Amino acid sequence: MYIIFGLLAGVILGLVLKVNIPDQFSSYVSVAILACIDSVFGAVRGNLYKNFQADIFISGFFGNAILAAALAYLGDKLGVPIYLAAVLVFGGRIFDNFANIRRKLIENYKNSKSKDVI
Amino acid sequence: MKKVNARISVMIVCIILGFILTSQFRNILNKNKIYNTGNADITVELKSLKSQKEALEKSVNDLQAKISEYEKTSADKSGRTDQMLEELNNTRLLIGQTDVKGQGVIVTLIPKTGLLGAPSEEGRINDRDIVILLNELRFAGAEALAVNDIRITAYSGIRNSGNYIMVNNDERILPMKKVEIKAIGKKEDLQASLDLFQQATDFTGIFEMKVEPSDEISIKRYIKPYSFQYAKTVK
Repeated sequence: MYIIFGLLAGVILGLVLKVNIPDQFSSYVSVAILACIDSVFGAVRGNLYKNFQADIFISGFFGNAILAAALAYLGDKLGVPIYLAAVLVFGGRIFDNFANIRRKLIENYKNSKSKDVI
Repeated sequence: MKKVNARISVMIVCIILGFILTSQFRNILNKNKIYNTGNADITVELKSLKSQKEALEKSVNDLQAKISEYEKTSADKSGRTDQMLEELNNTRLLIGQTDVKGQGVIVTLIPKTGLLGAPSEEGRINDRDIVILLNELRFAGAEALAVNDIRITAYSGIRNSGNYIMVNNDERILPMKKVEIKAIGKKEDLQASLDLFQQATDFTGIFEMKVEPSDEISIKRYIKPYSFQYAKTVK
C-alpha cells in the first residue's frame, strides 16, 4: 500500500516540479531506474518473507542506482556496452523477485483459504 | 517503531523512484516531440526548395532558348557567323550543355538487401563502383553519360560523402537505393565492354548489375554554367 502511495506521490511531484534531466544523462538515468525498480521489488519480497531490513534496502537502492549509472557511463567512455550487464542482472533479478513474490502471495492465499474451510 | 521506520523509508524511496521515472518519461516524450516537429519543418522546406529549383531551372531554359534565338538571328546575316554558330553548338555538345539522345545502354545497379528487406551495410554502392563503371563506359566510347539523370561532364567529380554519393559537388545519389547509369554510344561496344568487365570484376556480393541496350536514350544537359577561375589560355 505505502509503496503505491509513495510512487503516486513521486509521480505527482515529478509532474509538478518539472525537473529536466539533460539529454546526455538520460541513458544512465534509465539504467539507474532499472536498479531502483529492482530494489523496490526486493523490498516487497523481503517484506513478504519477513526478513526486510530498512538500512540494507536504502543502501541497496542508492548504491545499485549509482553503480549502474556509473557503469553505464564508464562503458560509454570505453566503448564497451557495460550497461548491458546492468540491464541483464537487474532485469533477471526483477523477474526472480517477482516470481518469489507471486509464489509467496499465492501460498498465503491458499493457506488462509484452507484455514477457512477447517 | 522499527516497522514504522521501515515503512517511511520505503515510501521515501518510492517517492524518489516515481519522481525519477516521471521526469525521465517526460524528457523522452519531449525529445520525440522536438524530433517530430523538426521533421515536418524539413519536409515543408524541402518542398519549397524543390519548387524554387524547378522555377529556376525553367528560367534557365527560357534564357537559353532566347540566347539560341539571338545566335540564330545574328548568324542569318552572314555565312561566316553561321559557321561559328555551328562550331559553338558542337562545343556545347562536347561539354554536355545540350540535351542529347541516341542509342546506348542503361546500367542498373540494385543493392543487395539484408534480412527483412533492410539494406545491409555491405549492400551499399560505393563511389568507386560508379567511377569504375563510368570509366569503363567512357573507354568503350560512350559520348554522353548520366548517373540517376545527373549529367556527367568532363569536370564531374564523384565521391562518398556521409550517407550519400555526391556528384558534381552538389547533387546526391542515395547509395542504398538503385542507381541508374545511362550511356549513349555504340551499344554493342558498350555492352561488350561491360560484359567483359562483369566477368573480370565481382560485384555480385554487393549489388546486382543489369545492362540493358536501348535504341533511344535521352540524357538531359548539364544545367549549370561553366567558369574557370584559375586556368587561362596560353597565348
